[in-house]
Amino acid sequence: MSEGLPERIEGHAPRSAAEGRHSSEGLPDMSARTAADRAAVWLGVASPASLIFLVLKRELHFVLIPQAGIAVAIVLGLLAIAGGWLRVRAVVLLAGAGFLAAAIAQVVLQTNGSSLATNSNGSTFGLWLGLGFGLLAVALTRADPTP
Amino acid sequence: MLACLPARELNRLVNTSSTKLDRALLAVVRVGLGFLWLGGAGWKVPPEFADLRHWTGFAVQFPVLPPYTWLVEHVVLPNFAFFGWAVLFLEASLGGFLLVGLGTRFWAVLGMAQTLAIIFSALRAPHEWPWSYFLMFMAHLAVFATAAGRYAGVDGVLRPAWQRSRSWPARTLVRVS
Repeated sequence: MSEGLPERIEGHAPRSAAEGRHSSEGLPDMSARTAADRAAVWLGVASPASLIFLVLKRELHFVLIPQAGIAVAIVLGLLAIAGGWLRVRAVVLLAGAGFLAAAIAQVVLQTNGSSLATNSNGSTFGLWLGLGFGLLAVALTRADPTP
Repeated sequence: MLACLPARELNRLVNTSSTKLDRALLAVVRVGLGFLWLGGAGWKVPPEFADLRHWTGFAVQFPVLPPYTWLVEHVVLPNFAFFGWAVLFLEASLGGFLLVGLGTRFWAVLGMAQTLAIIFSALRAPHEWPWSYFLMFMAHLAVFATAAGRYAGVDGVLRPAWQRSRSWPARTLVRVS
């Protein structure tokens, strides 16, 4: 165990696609997907699902999504889904880091009055912060395969 | 006898003592609180934080707790840029982490603390409904008491792995989840 090394919560080496179980046809064995892999998929699904706030208005308009944020939500969400589905933790890690970068960019752009941040605010920042840290936690924690 | 069980088994037993509906409803409460804070973070607009300054000033205009009023008047308002950023980061984080259910009990405690700060600022402001703040506090209390991140949350998925680990980040996450 790597005491004091926060880069991997359990201290194991990241699992790569090559290390994952494969069926006799050479395709990834989906039944070996762990609960953490499925969590990455669900967090990924939550991202494009958040685009519902482009439609919901008034009392249910909890989160603002800027125009540029639509691409962020779709691309990073799909990346997280792919990472979880294919059991490639590095891809999940990349998606998590992407959300954190997007969250920081939102705050910086809003503070500087950039048009890219139009229709975004602290709710956008918080949503991406949560998805980012959630995906990082999933990517950095090694879990046993569960049925 | 329960102490003899491996942590993973104990966790399984605790998690199966409630029904699926119970767990789903707790997840709804947690996610609902997440959206509450995201909405709150939405009107903390940097770099001026004008609306937040206005609301914080209620602690001085309509005092609830004299020491808090003094603190706001002499420490918070003169250094408002710092406090504005702190509130934005805190409320956005509360929203994000409660939404995904990561470190949920820790964030529930911070949510209660922030609710108290809001109570001490706005409780006696005109047109406020005190019970809205009391309910907000109690909702966080429920999320803390039930460790609601273990249901449809990242805590629930990763906690067994954290419990098996000896690394300090994993041990910390066990405590805060």
